[in-house]
Amino acid sequence: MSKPVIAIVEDEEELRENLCDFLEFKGYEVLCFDSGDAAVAGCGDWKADLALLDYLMPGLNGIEVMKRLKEVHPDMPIVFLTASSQGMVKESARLKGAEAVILKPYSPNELIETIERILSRTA
Amino acid sequence: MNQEAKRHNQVKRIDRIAIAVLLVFLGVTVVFSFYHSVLCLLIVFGLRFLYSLFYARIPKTYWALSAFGAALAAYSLFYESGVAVTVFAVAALLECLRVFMIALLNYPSTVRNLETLTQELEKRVQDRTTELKAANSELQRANTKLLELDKLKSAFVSQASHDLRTPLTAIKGSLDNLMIGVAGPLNEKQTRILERAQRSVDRLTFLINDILDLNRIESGREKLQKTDVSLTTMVKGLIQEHKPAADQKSIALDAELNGDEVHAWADPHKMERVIGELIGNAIKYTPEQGRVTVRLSLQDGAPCVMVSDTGVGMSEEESKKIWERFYRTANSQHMAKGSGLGLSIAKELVEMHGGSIRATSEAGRGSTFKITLPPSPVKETAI
Repeated sequence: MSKPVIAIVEDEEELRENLCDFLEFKGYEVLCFDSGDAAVAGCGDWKADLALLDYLMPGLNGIEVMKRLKEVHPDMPIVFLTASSQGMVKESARLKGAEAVILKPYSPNELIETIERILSRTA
Repeated sequence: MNQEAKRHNQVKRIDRIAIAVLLVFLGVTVVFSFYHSVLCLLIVFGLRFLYSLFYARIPKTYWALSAFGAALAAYSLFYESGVAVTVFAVAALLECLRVFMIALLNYPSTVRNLETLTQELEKRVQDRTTELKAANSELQRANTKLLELDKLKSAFVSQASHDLRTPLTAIKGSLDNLMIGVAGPLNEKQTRILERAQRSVDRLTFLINDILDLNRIESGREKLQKTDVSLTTMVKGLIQEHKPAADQKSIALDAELNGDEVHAWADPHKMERVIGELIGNAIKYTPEQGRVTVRLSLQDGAPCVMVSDTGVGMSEEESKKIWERFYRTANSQHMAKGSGLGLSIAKELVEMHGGSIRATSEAGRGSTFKITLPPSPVKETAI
């Protein structure tokens, strides 16, 4: 069985690389994008089992990226990462179709549990 | 001014003539009848005294008293006979006439005075109103400015916290990656060093979260989602949750939940946080082998939660200050680490529910924190 693929869209380089290292270590194949625009531009060419999106990014923000990705991959689950703890972010993201919202800084356990829960459901 | 003085002199002159005439008439009466002369004297001077009482203040009284005097005079003329009575009546009549004259002469100036007075009053009222309006708009401006500043402060705090979280996430992520062995296995010393860094990052994370939470409560963005909550179940869960921390210090953590289940109409997450904060604090500030007890009760229908410990306690002054932001008691500074915001948040949350939170303590003998919530509204019975 091939490794599950996780797409990461995060503009902060340090966060992106940490995530990438962590998920690769946990046995996932990782696709990294440094902006919403980059992720959306060629989204017909790649497919992932789950996408981790930063909520607030320059250019296309998380919600817009989700909308575009959903147009091409309607079944791809989306998880948001956000540094704003406002409940509003959680609410608006969930209402618009995200599977989960994780608050930064997240614990590795929380992240991996969320990912595994979603993947086991969609598998 | 000149005219005023002239008129004043006129009045004085009339007055003098009137008094002279009166005295002459009085002299005549005394000659004819002692009894009537005394009566006349009494009435005339009584009237004069009354006039003098009301002279400047109530012009209407002139007219009333004068009319009374005239009526008395007329009565005497018609129904009494004799020279003395007639003389007395004429005297009274004259007195009335005198007063009429004075009032008549004074009338235009009185009216004028009144008009000026009214104008002056109106002007004063106007001035005051303008002053008040200015002060009011000043206050309004200040208030608007304060509100704007408060909004700016809230926006700043939430922006700053957001900006702090991003690098914090990167630090934490790097540490976590090292700890789980992304870069290979670690020896004991490396693990210890990293654990230290991780603890500090966790502390910083708690602090930022607390600042953000307090900011949200203070700016009114935090809303309660009230429902029927079983405090009994909640406390049982919290005791379970805090058991490991208590066991670590060999602290006996118990609940006294005697009697029926205690319910409250409250936001379960917020109440859980408040009670959890109190239990956590109690464990923090209680030395090893101590005891922490959570009691639930209903007092006049109001649900109460009490968390008592056998910890270091506080002085009376300290127990008042602990609700202030970032306040740390003398003991807490070296005993336990926290944001210094937990109790401020707890107080705000309890007060949002319309309840109260109090601390009683004795230095060295432990503390008791008591939350009182408003009585639950009568439950609507389903049909």
